[in-house]
This record gives sequence, structure tokens and C-alpha cells, in this order.
Amino acid sequence: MNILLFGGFLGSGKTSIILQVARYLVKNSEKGFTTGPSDSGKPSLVIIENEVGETGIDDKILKAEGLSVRDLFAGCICCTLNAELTICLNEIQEELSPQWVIIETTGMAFPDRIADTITKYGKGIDSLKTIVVADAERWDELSMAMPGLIEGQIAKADVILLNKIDCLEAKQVSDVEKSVRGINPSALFYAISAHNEVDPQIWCKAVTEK
Amino acid sequence: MSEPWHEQFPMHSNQSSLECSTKQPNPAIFSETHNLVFLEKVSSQKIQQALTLWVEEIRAWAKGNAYLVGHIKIFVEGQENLWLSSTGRSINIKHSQGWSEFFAEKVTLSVTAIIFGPSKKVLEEVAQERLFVCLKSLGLGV
Repeated sequence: MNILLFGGFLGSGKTSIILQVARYLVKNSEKGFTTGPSDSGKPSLVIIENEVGETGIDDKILKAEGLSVRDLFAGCICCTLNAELTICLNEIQEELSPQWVIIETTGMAFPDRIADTITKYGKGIDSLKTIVVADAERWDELSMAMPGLIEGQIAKADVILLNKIDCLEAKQVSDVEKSVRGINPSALFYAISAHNEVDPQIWCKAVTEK
Repeated sequence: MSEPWHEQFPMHSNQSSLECSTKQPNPAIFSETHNLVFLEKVSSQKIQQALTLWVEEIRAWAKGNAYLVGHIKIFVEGQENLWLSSTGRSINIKHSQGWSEFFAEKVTLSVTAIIFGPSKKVLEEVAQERLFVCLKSLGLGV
């Protein structure tokens, strides 16, 4: 089971990106490259949605695309139900054993903490990649308002996707990129606009390469 | 004029250290699902206009009070789907392929607004009141 753990602040574009990544992985499965439904018809890709609020929206959006989604509704949005998530993950492993599991955390979560728990208690995990989406359009505003959370989300990411670059001028994107890379220089970094179709080569490098 | 949001919202205080070791502000969350049944078929354009107006009004209210928008999201689920989202700036509109020609008899409406600054009660009052007006303007009943 290969796990893609998505983090990033509220409204950064996680669900839009997950939709594209899921489509990319499913498309490749149809080509027989990376994933594919098993003979038993079990999905090769499962998405775990950790949402806040009484009603989920992201899970409905993903289900409407025909994707297999499990919901986890958070009581505390920054604690992110670590125990429940691990149980859910292990159930998925036992029941479906998919090739890919995508986890969308709440916008207030610290993905590295979740990754630590999953690594420690998760079963059947072949790889785990932490992908954090940063909102280029609101970078300055959010960095000022919640520096601890924003920097904490990015600091230990394996991959950083700077999203919504279509909302900024080139110079502004460059400034934000400098700021983001300053927090985590070792992560793979891609500046994208999930409003449009992202180059599949980016997904190939950011998602599937180990 | 209200105080800036970061000076007035309550801090997180009741979690065990095992669960949460970093105090982060708690946003107010408004989150509801409604099954809407229309007396007459309603065009997708009308539904989209009414719900976009709701997002615009919540966005303007948050801005007017110097609150920070986490996100505002709407999903309309029926034979065709509509997805609206905003972080307090532009409003993103996405929909399924046949949405533009769609006339709805019934849909499921899910709305969520996560805002830093107001209390949950205040957000609920504002969000519900304006949602009711938006739906009523279309002759819809919640």
C-alpha cells in the first residue's frame, strides 16, 4: 500500500489536486502501468477524507467522480483523529489492500504528526509520501495570521505544491517560492495551478516516483 | 468596526498533550445539508446564481468584520453537480458536464463555511438567515 498524505491550510486546493492525482493514477491503472482493479473488483485507490463540520463536502465531490472514499469526521480539527485514522487505514489494508491510499487531512492538521503515527502503527505500508499544498494567493496573509501552523505544515513535507500561481504575477510567485523553500529546502517543489489541468509529468515525479 | 479576528477568537484549550500539543485558533464552523424539492423545475443557472449570492454575502460579511475565511464551500448534488468554493477572494465555480442544461426537480445541497473570528452562534445565524433568503428568492423550500 502506497500512501499519499495531503496537507495544507483550508482552501489551499487540496481536494482539487487530489481529484487530478486520483484521475492520473486511475488513468495509469487503465494503461496497466501502476494500478488497476484487482480480479475481485476491489478498488486499487481509496481516499480517506478527514473533514470538519457535520456534513462533508469534499467526500461528496470525490464520490461524484466515482472514487472510493472513506469519511472521518474530526471532533478536533487540529488533532486529526490520529487513532481513528490508523484504524481506518488498517481496515482498508485488510479488506481491500489497495495499491494507493490518498489521505486528505483537515486544513488545520500537521501532516508530519499524522505521518509519524501511521508509520508507527499502520500495517502493510510500502511507502508514505507527505504532500503539502501551499496557497500562493494567500501566502502573505496566512503566514502573518498563523505562522506556526503554516510553517509547521510545510517544514517536514516530502513534496510541496505551491498552488494558485495563476492568481499572482511572476515576481510575486518567485517571492513566495523563496519564502516557502526557506522553510523546507529539501522538499521537492512544484509551482502549479490546479484550476487548470496540471502537467502529468509533475504527478509522475511528485506522486509515483520513489 | 470589529476588532481584527486574531485578537478576539478563543484559543484551543481542552485537548490532551497526546492529541494536540500546539495551540491553534478554533474557527467557527457552519455546516448543513438540505434535501431540496422544488415545486416546479428550476434551471441550473438560477440555482447557481442564488448560491453564488450566498457565498458573496458570507464573503462580504467576513470581510466587513475583518474575519479570516478558512473556506466557504457549496456542493449541489443531483443528476448534475455544482461545486462553489471561495477563500474570501474569487469564487471558483466547477460543475459536471451537463450542468448548464440541467433543470432540477430535487437536489441535495451541502454548505460549509469555516471562518476565524466570529462565534459559532453568530456565524450560524448569519449563514442560515442569508441562505434562507437566497433559497426563498428562487421559490425554494428548505
